Amino acid sequence: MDLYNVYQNNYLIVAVFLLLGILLPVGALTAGRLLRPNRPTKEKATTYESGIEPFQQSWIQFNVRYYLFALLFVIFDVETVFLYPWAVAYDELGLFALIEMAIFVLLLTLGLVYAWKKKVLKWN
Amino acid sequence: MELETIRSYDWGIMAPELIILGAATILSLADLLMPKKASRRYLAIFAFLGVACALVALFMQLDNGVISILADTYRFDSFSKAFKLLFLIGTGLILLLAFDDRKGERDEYRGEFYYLLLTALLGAMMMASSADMITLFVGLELLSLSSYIMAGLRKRDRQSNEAAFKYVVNGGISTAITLFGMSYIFGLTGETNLYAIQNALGDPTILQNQFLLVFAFLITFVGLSFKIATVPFQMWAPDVYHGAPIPVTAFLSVVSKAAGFVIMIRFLLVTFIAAPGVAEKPLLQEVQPYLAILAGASMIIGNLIALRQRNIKRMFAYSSIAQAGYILVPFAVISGLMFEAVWFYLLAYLFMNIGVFAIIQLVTAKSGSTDISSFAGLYRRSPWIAVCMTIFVLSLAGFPATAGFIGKFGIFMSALSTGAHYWLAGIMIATTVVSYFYYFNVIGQMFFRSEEEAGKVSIPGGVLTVTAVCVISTLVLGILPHTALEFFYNQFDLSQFFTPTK
Amino acid sequence: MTGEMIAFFILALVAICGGVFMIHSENVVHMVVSLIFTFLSIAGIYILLSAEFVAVVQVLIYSGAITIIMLFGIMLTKHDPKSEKRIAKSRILAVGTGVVAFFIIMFLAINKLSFKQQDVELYVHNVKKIGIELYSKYVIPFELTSILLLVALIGAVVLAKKDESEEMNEHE
Repeated sequence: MDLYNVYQNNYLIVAVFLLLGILLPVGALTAGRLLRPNRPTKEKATTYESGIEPFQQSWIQFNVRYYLFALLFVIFDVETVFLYPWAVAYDELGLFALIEMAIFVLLLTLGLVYAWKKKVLKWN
Repeated sequence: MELETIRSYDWGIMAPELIILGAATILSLADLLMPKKASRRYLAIFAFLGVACALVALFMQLDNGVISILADTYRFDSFSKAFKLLFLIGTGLILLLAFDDRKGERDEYRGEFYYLLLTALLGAMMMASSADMITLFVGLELLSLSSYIMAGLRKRDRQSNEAAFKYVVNGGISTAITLFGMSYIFGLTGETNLYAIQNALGDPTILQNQFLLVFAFLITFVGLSFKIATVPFQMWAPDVYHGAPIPVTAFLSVVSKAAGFVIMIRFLLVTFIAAPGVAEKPLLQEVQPYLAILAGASMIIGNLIALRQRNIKRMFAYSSIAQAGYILVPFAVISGLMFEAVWFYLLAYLFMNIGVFAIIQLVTAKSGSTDISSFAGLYRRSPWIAVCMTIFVLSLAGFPATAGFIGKFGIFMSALSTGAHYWLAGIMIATTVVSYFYYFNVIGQMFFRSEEEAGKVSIPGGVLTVTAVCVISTLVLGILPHTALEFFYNQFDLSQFFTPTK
Repeated sequence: MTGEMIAFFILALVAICGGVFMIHSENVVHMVVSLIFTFLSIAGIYILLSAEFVAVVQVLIYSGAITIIMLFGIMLTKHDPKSEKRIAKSRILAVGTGVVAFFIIMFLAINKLSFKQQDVELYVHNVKKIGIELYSKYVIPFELTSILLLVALIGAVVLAKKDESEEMNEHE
């Protein structure tokens, strides 16, 4: 049971850090709000664009290519997730695990070749 | 794990799956290396050869008993071979159909279709030959994911886009529901092996949670009903069937649907066979009324809405909802005749439905529209095609001397054999009568309407083979059903299904 | 009340609030941000259950990758927040009743939950245990997963890539 407490206490520290991380900016901004004078004018509310009058929406449409990269990223991200426990447990698994992972990586390499051949990776 | 233990398993038993996987891999490489403008048509032949090889491999293994690899994550038994046979035959026929689907032949993504079809088949086969929750689920996802993409392959076609989008959204929701139900089953028992779960459900501490167990059963069932397109997850079917290319529609309505029944029967029956319900009765008996209501609702909704359809693909989509309702009947009443009734009906349904879609593909390619009027006067233009279509439609309607009749009769008898399900049998008869109206509407168009457009419908080789195979099988199964049933009795051993290996 | 309970309640509350805000928000970016809160607090719940590896995967895949996908999806599409239709009151009521009924059923079912003896030492070598199970017993589903990922990759390329002819037109 002792080990379990150690495990939990470790995460208690993480929780404290997380809490501090959230509370500090919130606290600082609230304090700023309380201390500063509040005299809003219309010019103050506009976006600051180095002196140029802001035009159009701040959201622009991205090129669809970015999206494809993001999709590929997710798929290879999932692959890494499988690699990690494999690496940790490798000592106890032996040769067979190596073959397994080789097949797994090979099949995903096929995917990479596919993306390459379809010119997804090219930027023109 | 030692290499010896790994070697001790009989990996050769996975030959059909490995052949399909190998064929898919080679196809994808070939597609990538081929010149860009070359026609991908002949890849279909290669894919067909792969399926044929897998079928041969499966036939060579028929005499094996139960073989299990790695704690049933792969399991070869009578159930898996009976249904893998259906998948392989169905996919083979669909590949022949796709070979002659000239529409969109020059599409950029034509090659992808063939290997996605094979990976979908691989998913379905793994669903049939596993007794482990994780493999079943991964197989289900492989099938679903491949089907989503196949439905949307025609990127320039708005309907195809709509079909893919609706399919993926509905599919995602249903997968979430299935997983939710499965998570309760896993949470209560702590096992993923179906036989271990079956065993664990006899534990008295777990038995105190019967209510949750019934709930888990129903949620999983509802989630899985997406694949077979029955109530409450039926509404995607018309849009997706309508929008997808015809070979894909045929695949979804036959192979994918059969796979849905397979996972339902395997997963729900094996795990819950011995589980007690909330009251005195066993769980499977307790949930029967709910399942019967869902089956009845599918039959009624499918058949009634089909009456109003003018589009031939939509009509057969609703018809397939109704047909799935019929097949659900033996499962809902859980009689001893269930396995043979479901298997035989799926076999009959495979031939008649693929036949129907083969002819729809021919006729609509000629007329350019999927409206029912493109069938007008078909008898005068191409009498043989009209006769074949009539046979398929009569079989779907359940007329004597066709496979559909024998199948429906088997289902009907299984509904009566358990007693207290007369109302379900009654709904089945009533909705069958309703279905005559729209099925005969198709026949009426072909024989009694004057033709709107002249011109004989020519029939290319692939579709000709498919139609011939389907017509012969529909008639043979209708007149001599024993050929198939005896094969089934010889091969199928119920004890293999419910008891674990060793 | 133990510290574990308190932590659980806070995390569960954040998870649920995140979900509710996501449905309620009109601004898509706010939706994604509230979803991140849900994902993160679910990761926290996994840690409470001693499933460290699953928690890390949750952060890596969901809070990381999936969120990025969603943000890209937002950046790709045009949307003005005013165009949405109001949802009918009756529909909200129906959904609300459904949610409440579901909650009551689940609560009744879970209330008297009983388990067999449970593993208590999940936190010791968590990742290693998963690795050993996955690569010795679940080899077949694992290899099947690689095919699944491959299909997903092909699907992503096929469905999301612009056609080459369209690109040509753009260049001209």
